[in-house]
Amino acid sequence: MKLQYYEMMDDKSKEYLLYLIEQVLPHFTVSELKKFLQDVAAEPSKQKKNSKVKSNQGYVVIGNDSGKKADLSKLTIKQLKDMFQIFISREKSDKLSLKWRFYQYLKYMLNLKLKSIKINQDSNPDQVIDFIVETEDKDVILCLCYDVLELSKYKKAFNKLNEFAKKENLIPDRIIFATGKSFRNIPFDEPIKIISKELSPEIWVEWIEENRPFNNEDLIIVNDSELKLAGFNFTRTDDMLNYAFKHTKGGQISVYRQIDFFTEVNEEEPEVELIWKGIMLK
Amino acid sequence: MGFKKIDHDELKTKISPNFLGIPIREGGKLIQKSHREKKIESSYTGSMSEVLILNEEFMEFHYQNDGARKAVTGNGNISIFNNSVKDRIWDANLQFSGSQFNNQKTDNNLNLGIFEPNSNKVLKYEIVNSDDLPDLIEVSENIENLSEDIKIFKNDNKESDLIENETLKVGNKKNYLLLLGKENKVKFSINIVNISTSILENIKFKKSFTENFYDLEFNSNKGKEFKVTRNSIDCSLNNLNPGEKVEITILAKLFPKKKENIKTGNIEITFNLSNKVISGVKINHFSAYSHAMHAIKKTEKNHAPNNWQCSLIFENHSDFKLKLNSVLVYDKSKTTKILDLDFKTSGSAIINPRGKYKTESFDCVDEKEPTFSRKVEYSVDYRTEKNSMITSRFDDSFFIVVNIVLKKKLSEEEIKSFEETVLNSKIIINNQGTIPINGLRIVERVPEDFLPSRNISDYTLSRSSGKLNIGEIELNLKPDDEDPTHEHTIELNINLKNGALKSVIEVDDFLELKYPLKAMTPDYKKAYDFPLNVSAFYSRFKNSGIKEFYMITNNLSDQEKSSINISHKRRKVMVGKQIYPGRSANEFAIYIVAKNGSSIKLNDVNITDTIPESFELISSNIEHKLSKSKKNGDQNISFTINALLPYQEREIMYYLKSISGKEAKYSELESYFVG
Repeated sequence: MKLQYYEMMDDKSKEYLLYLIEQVLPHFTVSELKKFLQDVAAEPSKQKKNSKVKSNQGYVVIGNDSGKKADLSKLTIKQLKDMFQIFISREKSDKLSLKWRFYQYLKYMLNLKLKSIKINQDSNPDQVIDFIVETEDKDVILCLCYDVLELSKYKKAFNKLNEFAKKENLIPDRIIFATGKSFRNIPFDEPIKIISKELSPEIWVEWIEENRPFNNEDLIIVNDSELKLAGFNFTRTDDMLNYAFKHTKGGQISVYRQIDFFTEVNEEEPEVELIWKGIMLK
Repeated sequence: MGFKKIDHDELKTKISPNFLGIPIREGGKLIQKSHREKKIESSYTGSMSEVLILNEEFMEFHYQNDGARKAVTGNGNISIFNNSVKDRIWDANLQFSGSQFNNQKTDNNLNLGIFEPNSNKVLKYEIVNSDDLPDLIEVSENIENLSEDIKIFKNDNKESDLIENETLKVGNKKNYLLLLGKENKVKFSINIVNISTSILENIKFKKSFTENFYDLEFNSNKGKEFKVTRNSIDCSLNNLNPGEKVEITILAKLFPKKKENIKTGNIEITFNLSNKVISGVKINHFSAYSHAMHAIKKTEKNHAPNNWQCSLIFENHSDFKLKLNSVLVYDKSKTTKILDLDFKTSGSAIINPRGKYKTESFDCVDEKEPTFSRKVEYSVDYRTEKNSMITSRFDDSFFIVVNIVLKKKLSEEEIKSFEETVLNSKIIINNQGTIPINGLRIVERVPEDFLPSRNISDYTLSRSSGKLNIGEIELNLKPDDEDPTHEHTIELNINLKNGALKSVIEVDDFLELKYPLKAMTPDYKKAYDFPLNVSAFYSRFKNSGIKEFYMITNNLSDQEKSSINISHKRRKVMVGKQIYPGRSANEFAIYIVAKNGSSIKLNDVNITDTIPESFELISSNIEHKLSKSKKNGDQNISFTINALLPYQEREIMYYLKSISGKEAKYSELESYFVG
């Protein structure tokens, strides 16, 4: 498991890091990378916690430049390291890391007919809503990201959600709490009231499947090289299959893994192992 | 970058590095839901336990209001209870069969594994092919409206009161009537017959009522206490043996205020069948092992070395009764059968808890201690119980609401006395009920001095869809004459000739009847009334072929009664006379004008003038009559105007000429004039 920690990597060269970062899926667009880098570099907000900021000012559309793939070659070592620790080894579990990992998941894995995503660019901790998602069905989903979800934060979020709804005159259709860990005493089976509407909040926890049939270092090959994916992109088999479903033509699908592709240099015939076979009906 | 949506149970109980805090598990989660708790009544006294196999079925029969079956659904449970507090049973096998399984030839053999002490397992099954299941009860409901205003009319033109407790033929669906805006008293006569071969127990009867019903009374020949709730009458009934019947009578009142149908109330009956399941499921066999020991006791005979006396001992170390099924003992090499006991055919040996069974001794010779191969088959004894809970639901029907609104109008409110006038009478009948009116009978009493028309074509009936066919109208006049000195009765029957199979007035529609009435010189000193009643006929049965009807008669209300005033009109007439010189000196023209200044026609207006002796008549413009007065010998000329119409003027002219040789007295021209 050589991609588990940055410090344990034998090769920390820029070229190698860049090579790995380029395998991160979904690829970053120009706007996404820019926003990500701003977030990572952002200093803690100097505003007082109780200062009134118009919530409208804090949200900008992101990812609407899907045709423009970001150029990662100009990233610094530090930036590459941050990206490695957030998206590949996942050793960073602070709120920012969780937020960006959820963003990646949100955009490509949740099977939503996405119309737009707005991201909160206000670093004021009172702004609890991290993403405002609009779907093509005109549903509005508010996403709140946490590293650890505690009961006090959960309750505080309600008030903020109501304030937001009143200010923006916007009642959401779904509310998602995305978190790395959660305390067990979160009463999210009780519906919450946002102005006049009762909603059942959802908790999405970052999940690592215990007996995943592939490792971070493996190259996942779909069919006859129709699709090649880095194993570190997926922590669950279902997520990997969902991605393959979306990005292949469907039909009879065989999924292989080339073991340790990203960490071992193998001069011999690469060892390829079948990990899934089935039919994807599209 | 996988995220997973979690549910509340996962968060509380699952072990995961993502979840912080102690997992919380709440106890008492139900494994199965059943309709009732089953308390095992066993003979356990602390020294004996039992395995109980309880087969329960829950069936629901759904019937239409006329008793035709709509649907049957049901499911069943086979529950196996180990009620021992200390003993486990294992290798449990259950064999059951039933006519409802797809593969009807093979038994279902289930291995149920281990039953811990005081535990149970439940097998659930759906009952399919429920159409083959027989009905267990037959329920009939007869509903009558006890109002005296409702009569029965049959095609033989005979009216009768409603028949109480009339038995309906199968398939005949009745219409149930309520009178709108009046208090109705209805009677429900419900019969429940046990048509099965089993005793029906714990019978609970429930009839639902909407809020329209009040003053409920209940009576039954087999009922215990009944309870009236807001929406129903509930009652427990005695057990019913096969063929037995229970009769229930419920009286209720309603006051329909709105023109809408009211449900009669569905019926629900639940009962138990003890020791029976009707789907055909059978528990064929159950077997399981519990704590037992078997051993072969070998005793070397006294005074006979190497000669052994042996017997097999079976000990029951459990709290259950064990059935010993077979014992097979071979010699060590399994070539010689020493003991072969088959208790299945000869009757299983039941070994009580902590009991023993010892076979008869058998001998063998062996220098060493003899060894044997043995096989003992035994099983825990068990008890089976069966029970069925049946619910039968009968759909309700509905009461239809009937009402008609009568209006009557005469074309004139005031007519003149002593004159013949033709009045147009109009009657409007509005159907304000919820079903069409099939037939009508309109009866009006016409007083003396008035005459109805004897010609049916003078009676026109129309409704929103147009005029009615004359063929559907029957006119009866009593007496059938044109004598205005006595009263007459008009009876119009509409659509009653053919048995009223079609409808005369649809819902929310009206019927308009117009006909003439002749006022034959009515007297202004008399008051004239025209009492009217209309009988509406409604189909008694929903099947249109049956020619029986409800007949409800409505009288024209006092507010709607139209009155007619006979007025005495004053006549006004003026007769004037003028004398003009004639064409020559001895000629004179007499001009008489008769003027009717009233609105009444004047008949036979007589005018008489006196002609002086010295004059003679030349001519007149109308017929005249000359006469001589016997009294005074005057010569008179008389004219008769047959009719002077209102405000009409008639002129009469006649010429006189003086007689030659006679002295003309011109003043005599102005002699007596009568007119």
